[in-house]
Amino acid sequence: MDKALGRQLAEAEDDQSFRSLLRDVFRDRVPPDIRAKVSAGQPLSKEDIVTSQRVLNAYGIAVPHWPGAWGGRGWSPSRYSIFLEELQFNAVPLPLQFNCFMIGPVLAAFGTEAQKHRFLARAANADDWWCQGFSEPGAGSDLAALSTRAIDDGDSFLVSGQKAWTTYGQYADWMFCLVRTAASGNRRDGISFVLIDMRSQGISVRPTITLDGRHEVNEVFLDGVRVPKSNLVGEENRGWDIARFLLANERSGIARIGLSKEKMARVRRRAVETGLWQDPVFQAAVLQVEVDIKALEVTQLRILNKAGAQDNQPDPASSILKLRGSQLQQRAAELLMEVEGQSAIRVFDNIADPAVAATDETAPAAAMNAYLNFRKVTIYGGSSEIQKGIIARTILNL
Amino acid sequence: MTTPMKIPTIDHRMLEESLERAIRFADDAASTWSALAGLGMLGMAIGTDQGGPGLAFGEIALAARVLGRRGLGVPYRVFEAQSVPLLAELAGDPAVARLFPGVLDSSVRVSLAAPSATHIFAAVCKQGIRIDGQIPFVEGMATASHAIVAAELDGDAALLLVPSGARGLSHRPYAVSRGDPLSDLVLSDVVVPSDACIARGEAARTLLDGAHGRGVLATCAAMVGAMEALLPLTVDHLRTRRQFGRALAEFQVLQHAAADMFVELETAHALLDYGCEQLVAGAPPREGMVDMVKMRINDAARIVGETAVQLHGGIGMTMESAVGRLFATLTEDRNSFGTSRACMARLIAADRGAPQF
Repeated sequence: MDKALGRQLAEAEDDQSFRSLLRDVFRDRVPPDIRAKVSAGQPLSKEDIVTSQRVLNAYGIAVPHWPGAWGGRGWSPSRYSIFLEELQFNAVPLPLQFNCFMIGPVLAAFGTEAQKHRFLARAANADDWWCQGFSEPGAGSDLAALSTRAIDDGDSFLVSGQKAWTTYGQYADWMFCLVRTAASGNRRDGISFVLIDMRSQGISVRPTITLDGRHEVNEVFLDGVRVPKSNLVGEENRGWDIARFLLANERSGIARIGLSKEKMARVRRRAVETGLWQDPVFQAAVLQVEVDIKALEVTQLRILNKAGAQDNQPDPASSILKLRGSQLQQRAAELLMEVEGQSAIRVFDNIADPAVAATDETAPAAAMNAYLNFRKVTIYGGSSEIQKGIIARTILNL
Repeated sequence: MTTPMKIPTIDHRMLEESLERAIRFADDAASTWSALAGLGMLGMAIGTDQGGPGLAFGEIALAARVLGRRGLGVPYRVFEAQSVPLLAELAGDPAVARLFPGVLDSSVRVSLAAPSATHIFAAVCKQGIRIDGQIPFVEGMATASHAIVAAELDGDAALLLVPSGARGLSHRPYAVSRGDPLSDLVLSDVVVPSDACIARGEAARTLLDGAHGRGVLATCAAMVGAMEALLPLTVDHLRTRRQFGRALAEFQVLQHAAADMFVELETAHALLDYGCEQLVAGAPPREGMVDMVKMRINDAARIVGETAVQLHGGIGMTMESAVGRLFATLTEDRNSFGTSRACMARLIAADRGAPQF
């Protein structure tokens, strides 16, 4: 680690030098082969993600939005915006979302001192890899319908049930989990938030292979898993409040505008290379997406400046960013695929066994995989339909 | 983008409230104009050293937006957003400066007739300058006291200040949705004194470009205003209209359609603020940024307007409904000062394939 660079970054006075120093860290300190993979839309290994996050953490920028005591930097909204934008534009892997944007803020807000000391620094440095045990086969958008049960067993709970769509569960050391601790009349009142060691007896992880042929998500089966009560976060049966907090946090910063910009830069490069840029109809399609990205960017800044003072309560208008940001990511991914044309059709090594799917990682095939993979972004983190419902309910009072 | 967008200052909020109150009972150009005069909100761009309010384009755009909520964007756009700032830049010219008191008390209203191709020919003559030609789609001629006419004089661009009562000047008005007509302006052997030529050559072109950019953004402001009016009208309608034994607001697909309207309005408003800031900061008024803003606000206007009508059902189709009239006005504005196709064509022509970001 370059201590001088780290110090300069911490002391950067204006946004211009801040941006430039960030680029120095991203371009010179994050291994280029990792960034190349991100740029080409190729899957990253666990080691890639951990390595990259540890570089960011060494320069104090893995968790800038956390409280200062735990590694936060207290950046202004515009500086934080620059950080995210440069991160995404320079094809640096995003810090592990479950560590940095979910369990981190939750423990900082609701955890005991013991829990904070035990988990936060390790989460920032990707020493522990966290996964999210929320959704279940019967509880997707309707999360409160969850039925994984936690039975009181003295100084611990015994947890049994099934979680679904657990991203990178196969890499995880720990899972933060919503469980039902009381079967009261009101579904939301019987939910608790617990931390589960993935090495516990009774846990098994089964891969779910997605359309892009990758193993990104899993089912997690819990069969009488013993969870010490010291791993309960917040009060028993008050877990829904923590879930709402977490989900609102998940929604903010999810527009991923920098990511869409990076994709569009790739679209242009490929379109010039393939000659598709000569087609004004294609040009118009590219420009339309870029205009919409710019529009979302100015909307995001306006929202950030309006929200300003309200801590822990993201403006409901952050639903706009999730709704539109996710749609833009999809449109950018679609153009990236269109540029490749027929070459984007992937070759499966063994078409009968989807678990051995899509090993063709050339750029054209990666473009189709990315398109298919990105269909998830309007579904997760609160589907587009849920976001519209939130806007209708909380902003328009319909 | 590194500079944070400005949130409205206290002054803007007060200004907005004052304007809303003043125009509450205005429903056409004449009553709008007396309301604005009463508030001292005419000649906004005239400097304080000339006895004017000395306000910036941000305030002019704010007024255009407030007026736009009532479908009253025109002729405010041409008088206050385009012509007055242009004249204010020529305050050193006595032929211009002597108009200012009249602008401030609403007795002088200056329209702008600038065809996209040169259709007006002017020539020096014994009595001054003779002007001939026709210009379609001129705003504000029904109540204008003067028009700034862009002409070709001795082979170069010129701006000529012509009184609307000049002999040989006539205009054929035609009604459009908002009630304040556009006109075909006809100049037939109109003679003006030499000092009526207020700008020549490059200076004239620069002034016209600036007026054009302001015209685009004032149009955008009026469109955002109209959208601001359409959303609460629609939400109220959903809450009060009952069919199938329940309020329309209980149907999810309609809730989502209203949410889409909201998102488009927020986007349009953010773009308007961005466009005004950039223009004031010196962005070229005939280039990419302005086209991008207009094009995207056109999209928002289409979605908000069409959805508002759709959610109102048949009522939205009537001339007598506020929704219908606002939608018609919004649609005219979509097609003024930059259709989406024209904007996109210019963006494509200027684009060489290099990354935009």
